[in-house]
Amino acid sequence: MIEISLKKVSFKYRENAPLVMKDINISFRSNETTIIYGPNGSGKTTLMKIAALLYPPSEGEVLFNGENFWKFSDKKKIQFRRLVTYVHEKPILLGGTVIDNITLGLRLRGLDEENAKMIAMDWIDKLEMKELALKKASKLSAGQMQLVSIIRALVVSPEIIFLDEPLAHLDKNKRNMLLKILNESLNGKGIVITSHDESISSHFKTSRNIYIDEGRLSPQ
Amino acid sequence: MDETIFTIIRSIYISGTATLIALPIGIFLAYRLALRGISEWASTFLESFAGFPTVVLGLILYFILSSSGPLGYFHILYTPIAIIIGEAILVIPIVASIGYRLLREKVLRISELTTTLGGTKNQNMLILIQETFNGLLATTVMAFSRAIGELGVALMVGGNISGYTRVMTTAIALQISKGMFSDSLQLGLALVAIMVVIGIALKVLGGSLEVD
Repeated sequence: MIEISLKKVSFKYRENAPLVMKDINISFRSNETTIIYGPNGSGKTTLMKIAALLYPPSEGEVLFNGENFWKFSDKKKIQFRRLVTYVHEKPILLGGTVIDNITLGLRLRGLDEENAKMIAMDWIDKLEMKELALKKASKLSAGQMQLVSIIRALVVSPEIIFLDEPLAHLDKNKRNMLLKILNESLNGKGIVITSHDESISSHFKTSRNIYIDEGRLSPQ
Repeated sequence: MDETIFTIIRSIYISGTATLIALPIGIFLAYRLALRGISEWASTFLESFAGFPTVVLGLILYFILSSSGPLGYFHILYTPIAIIIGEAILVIPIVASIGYRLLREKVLRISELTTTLGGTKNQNMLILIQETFNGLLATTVMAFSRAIGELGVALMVGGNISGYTRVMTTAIALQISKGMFSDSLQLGLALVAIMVVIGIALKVLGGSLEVD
C-alpha cells in the first residue's frame, strides 16, 4: 500500500505570482476512492498534479509513505512515480496509432512491444474499442481520445490513479462502462477523481468527497 | 573529374558536417530552454543570433584561429575544419531558436505525460523529439541551407584555396570577380538545386509528403 500526504502545501505557478493553493493537508491512499468537487479555477487540477508527484509544492511537503518525495534521488522519484498515474482533463495523445499510445507507459518501463501490445489489447477489449486499435490517434473523437488516455494510464497498473474530469467528453454508455471498469479493475487500488458531476459518487461503493474552492479544501 | 564537381561535393561535405554538429547542440539547447521557459526578450535575443552576420563571425574566427590567436596552435586556419567550425557556430542559433519555438508548445504537456507514465529524463526528451520530428527536419533543411549558402566564414577562415577549401559560394564570388558570369550562374543554379533536393529528400524521409 502507498500513501501520498500533502502537509501544509501551498503552490504558486511563478516566483512572483499569487498562491493558488494555500495550506493544504490531505492524504491519498492506494485503497480508497476520493472525489474532488469544485468550480472551474478552484485548484482541482493543481491539487491533483501536486498529489500525482508532478508539481513540487512552493511551500510545505509532499510525503510518499512518510518521506519527502522531492528530496528523493531522480532514480527513486521515477521508481515511485511508476506507482502513480495522472490522466489529464484534455487528453494528450502522441502521433501514431491508438495501440502505440496505449503501450507508451509499458514501453517506458522497458516492456517489449509484443507483451505491451498483449496487455493493451486486453484493456481495449474491455472497453469495446477493438476496431480503433490501429487507427491514428489524431483521428479519434474527443470521447475516444479521453478513453485512450485513461486506458493508457490503467495498463501500467498504478497503485493510485488520478483522473482529472474523466467523464467530460464521454457519452452516457461510455461513462457507465468506464465507471464499471474502474470499480472492478481498480478494486483495492486508489482512485482520485475530479468532477463537476455530484452524482458520480453513487457509482462507487465507498468514496470520500472533498470540496475545493479558491485553493482551500473542505470535506463535503 | 571537373573541379566544379569537386567544389560541389566539398560544399555538401563541409556544410553537411557543420549541420550535423550543430543539430544535437542546438536541439539540446532548445530543449533545455523550452523546459525552463525563457522570457520573450531572451527568445528574441536568441533569434537575433540566428541572423548573425557571417563576415563578422568570419572575422572573429580569423582572429581566434590565426597563428597569433588563442587557437593558432592547432593550425586549422585555411582548412576545411575551420569552415566546418565556423558554419556550425553560425547555424547553432538557428537550430536552437527554431527548435525552441517548436518544442516550447509541446514540452510541458509531453513532459508531464511521459513523467506521469514513468519516463526518465532521456526518454522524455526522445519522445519530444519524435513528436516534433518533422519540424526538426525542416529546421535541419534551413540550417543546411544557411551553411551551404554563406560566404563570409568560408572566405575568411577557408581562404578559397583551389582543390582544398574552395566551396560553391567562394567559387561563385571568384568567378564574378573574374567576369566569368556564365560559370558563376551555373554554380549558383547548382547551389539552389542542392538546397531544393536536400529539402525534398528530408521531407520524404520524414514522411511529410504522404499521399492519401
